[in-house]
Amino acid sequence: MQEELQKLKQTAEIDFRKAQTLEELEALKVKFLGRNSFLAQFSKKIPSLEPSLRPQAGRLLNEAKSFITALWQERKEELSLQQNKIDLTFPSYSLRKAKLNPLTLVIREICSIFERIGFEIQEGREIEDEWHNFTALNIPLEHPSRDAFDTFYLKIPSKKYKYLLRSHTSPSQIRLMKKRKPPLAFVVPGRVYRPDNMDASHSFMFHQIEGFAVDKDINFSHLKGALVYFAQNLFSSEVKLRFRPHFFPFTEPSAEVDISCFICKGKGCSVCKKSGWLEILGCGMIHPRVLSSCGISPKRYQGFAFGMGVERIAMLKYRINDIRLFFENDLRFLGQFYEV
Amino acid sequence: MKFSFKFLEEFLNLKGITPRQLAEKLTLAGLEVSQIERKEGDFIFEVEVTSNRYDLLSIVGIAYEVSALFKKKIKLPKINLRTRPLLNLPLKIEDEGDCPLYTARLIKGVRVGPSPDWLKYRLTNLGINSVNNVVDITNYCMLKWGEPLHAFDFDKIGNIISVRRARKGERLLCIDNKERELRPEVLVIADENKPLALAGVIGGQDSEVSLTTKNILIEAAIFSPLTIRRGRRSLGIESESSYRFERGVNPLNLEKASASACELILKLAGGEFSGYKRAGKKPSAKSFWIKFDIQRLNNFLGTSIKEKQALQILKRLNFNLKEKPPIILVKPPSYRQDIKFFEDLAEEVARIWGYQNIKEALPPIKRSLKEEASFYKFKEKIKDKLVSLGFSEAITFSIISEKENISSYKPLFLENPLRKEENILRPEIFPGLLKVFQYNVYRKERELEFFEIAESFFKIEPGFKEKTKLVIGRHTQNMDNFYYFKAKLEVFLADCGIKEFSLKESSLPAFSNYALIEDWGWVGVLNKEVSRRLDLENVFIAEFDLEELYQKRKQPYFEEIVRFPWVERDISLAKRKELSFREIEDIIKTQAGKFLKEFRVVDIYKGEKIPSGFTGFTLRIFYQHKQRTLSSEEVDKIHFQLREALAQKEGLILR
Ligand SMILES: [Zn+2]
Repeated sequence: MQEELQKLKQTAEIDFRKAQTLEELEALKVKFLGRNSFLAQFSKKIPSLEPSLRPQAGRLLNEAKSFITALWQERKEELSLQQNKIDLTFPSYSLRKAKLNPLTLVIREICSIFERIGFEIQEGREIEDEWHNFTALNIPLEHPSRDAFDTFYLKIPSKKYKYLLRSHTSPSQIRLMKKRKPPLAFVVPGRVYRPDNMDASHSFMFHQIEGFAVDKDINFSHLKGALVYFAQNLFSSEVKLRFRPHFFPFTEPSAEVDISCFICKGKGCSVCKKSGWLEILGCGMIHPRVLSSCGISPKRYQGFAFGMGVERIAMLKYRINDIRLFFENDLRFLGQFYEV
Repeated sequence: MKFSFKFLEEFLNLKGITPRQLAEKLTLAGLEVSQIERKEGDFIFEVEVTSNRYDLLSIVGIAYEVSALFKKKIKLPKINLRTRPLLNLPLKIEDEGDCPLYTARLIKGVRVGPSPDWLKYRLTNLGINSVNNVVDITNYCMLKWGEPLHAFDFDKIGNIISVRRARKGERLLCIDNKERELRPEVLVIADENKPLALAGVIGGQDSEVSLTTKNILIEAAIFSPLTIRRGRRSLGIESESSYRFERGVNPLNLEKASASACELILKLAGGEFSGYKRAGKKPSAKSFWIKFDIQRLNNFLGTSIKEKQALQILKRLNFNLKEKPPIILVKPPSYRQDIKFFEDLAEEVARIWGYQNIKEALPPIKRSLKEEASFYKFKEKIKDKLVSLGFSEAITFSIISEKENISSYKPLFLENPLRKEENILRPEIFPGLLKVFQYNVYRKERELEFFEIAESFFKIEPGFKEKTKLVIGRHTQNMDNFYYFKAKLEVFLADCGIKEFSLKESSLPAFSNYALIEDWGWVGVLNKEVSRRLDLENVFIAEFDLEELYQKRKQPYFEEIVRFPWVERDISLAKRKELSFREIEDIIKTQAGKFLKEFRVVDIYKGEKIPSGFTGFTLRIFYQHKQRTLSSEEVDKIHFQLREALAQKEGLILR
């Protein structure tokens, strides 16, 4: 009898394990613990046993019963856990996150880098007059940038200066210098316009960031420092800068700034046209005539200014090969960018 | 511009300097070498000359620069500047503004033929075709001195030379074999009858020097850079000559170029020098003495350059020095007309010293105590709020076509549009979003949510206005999504501190629905016909005056949260389509008064039981009192009164 019960326990264990659904398990429960089960039959037999054997038989029966019940309970928990499980590898619903235009991302990043070293962010207007866009910036009347080939003029009657769409963000420098007194330190992002035909690297509307600082002791080494800080924070701390003497009417001395090509690490590639350098911006010490035209004495104050094309920088940073992508607003394009 | 290593060696000993070293040093001193090319045993350098340095548009000018950079002595040829005998040819300058100086040299009896090889290579290496000895010599001297020259066949021109603007209808067959119709912005060299050449740009075929030419007239002149640029741009041509005139030529090199060309012609083509004539102002070069101050220089550059070193640099650049301690005065060489200020001196010292040798330091910026509020920051927050609501940011062009302008504002027109059809500045910015929708719909994306922040421009009397606007738009296949769009607008505005606003029905062409939002925005549904024309489906647009929203911004203040429970009651209604919900809302607000927490539409149906022309819906009213719990009898009473009031409303059916 003891052996029989032992065998029963083993069979129950094997059978419960075989059960794959709760329904199968329920059927087995009936088989092993139900009214017609071996155990039920067995318990009916007990009264017919010799009195001396009865307690022993009863004990064995109860033990087998609770053992099998426990097995059933365990398997039931296992199976119900299994049945509530889902396939985590099943494909998700497609969801699209709304995105900022990458130009906004780059403008934000650049402005916040300069903000960390003390610059304030301000903006200007897009319709400007010749005085603010050219004259105050020491750009002579015969300068080619004043031609209708290079600047959009507007049909707005005016007595003094012709109105135009600003061809750079520099007029904002003039307005801020006129409005506020030194010490000054601003970055000014915004849209600018030039009548260039659209192609992979030209657009008649694009973005610039102008920056400038004026005080009694702001010098060329500070210009270099600010721009190195900017480039290393925007691109990578590995990036090297090269300042090449250049010419702009509104700065003196002037420089063009190249960064070491981070694609080929200076070895030369198609992006840097095998030179190892990528031009990113123009800068210099503000020309004394520009300070004077804003009512700031060049004898007492000096300062630097820089200007950069946002699209160019965004194209380098994200390795975008066509400027037109910024203005098409294709979801497949916008979807690729995010703040790091 | 191009120059070659060998050409440079005519003036300098470059032994021990490799072309790479030369390129590197020139680049770091401001003459950017963009390319070096090997050609015919020579090295050709392509350089970008900045507009202030027209002295570098000549081999001699570059030689001066190289001599300063490498501390090399420059050797210049001696030239006999012959001006006798006087040439008997009237020279007339119509306007000295266009041409301040004109000179002519006559050589008689030349033998025109091919150039010697050395001369050919000088030109072809720098991209100029060899024509014949005379023409090649004028080009060679131009490259050398930076002063463009022109040679005429003296027997093909009339009795005078005049420099004047072209007359309407005049034409000229140029040496590139193209006949051009001239306009008054073009300056020409003419005789008494006809134009002979486009001044400073290109010669005419009739008077060009050919193999049969015997007598030649060499022109050397100064033309106004602006006149040359405007003239040649109007004709759409460019030449080595115009390139230099536009940037400026050194008047002091004019005679040298012309006289040395004569010398070389006499040598290589024979003939006899037969006369010189000049019209206009004698060349003069103004140079200023500038006070030099090493302390100021170091304070300006952030350097600690010694006075001696700085002065040495200036000497190498051929500056004159006048030392009267403690004052030092310096004067730039005559070919450096670009140097006028102390800051120009600083640049000269800095670039030869090397920008790379100036240390970097962060600027000591002092921020002011009072900072202006930043509209920029506000806009960036708006962008984040909208992105979090599911709208992506578009950036579209501010210049659009007059035809695309759907607006009650008068637009501003461009004087010189790039393309005729894109001729105005947009008075409202939403047409940009329509294009974005179209672009993406063509790429099979139909559920689209975008926004853009941009300037808008319009006419006012008198003058114009520029305003920053925000447009939010939705393209969808399902018209019912309008209420979802509206919900987002409400959430957005609430997030800007605007919890209540009124819609006032109005109209705008191209919109089937259009309502003003207070006086700072509008919302509309694009007309089906317009949508279809653009291959779009349902389009909802809202545009806001962002400057107004900026003015309205305010920080939030905590409001006590009502802790007493609320009670809900539903009412099923059907309203005639023409009845504005606004009127139902008014009834609810009046009847429920201070007991009203809020109401919502919980169901909309268009079943058979709803009479045609009606919309069925269920309203859920939430009743709540701020200071106590409402009893159900109380609520029943208010709710009954509300039902009664709604039942009496014309166009409304209680179901
Ligand atoms: Zn590279």
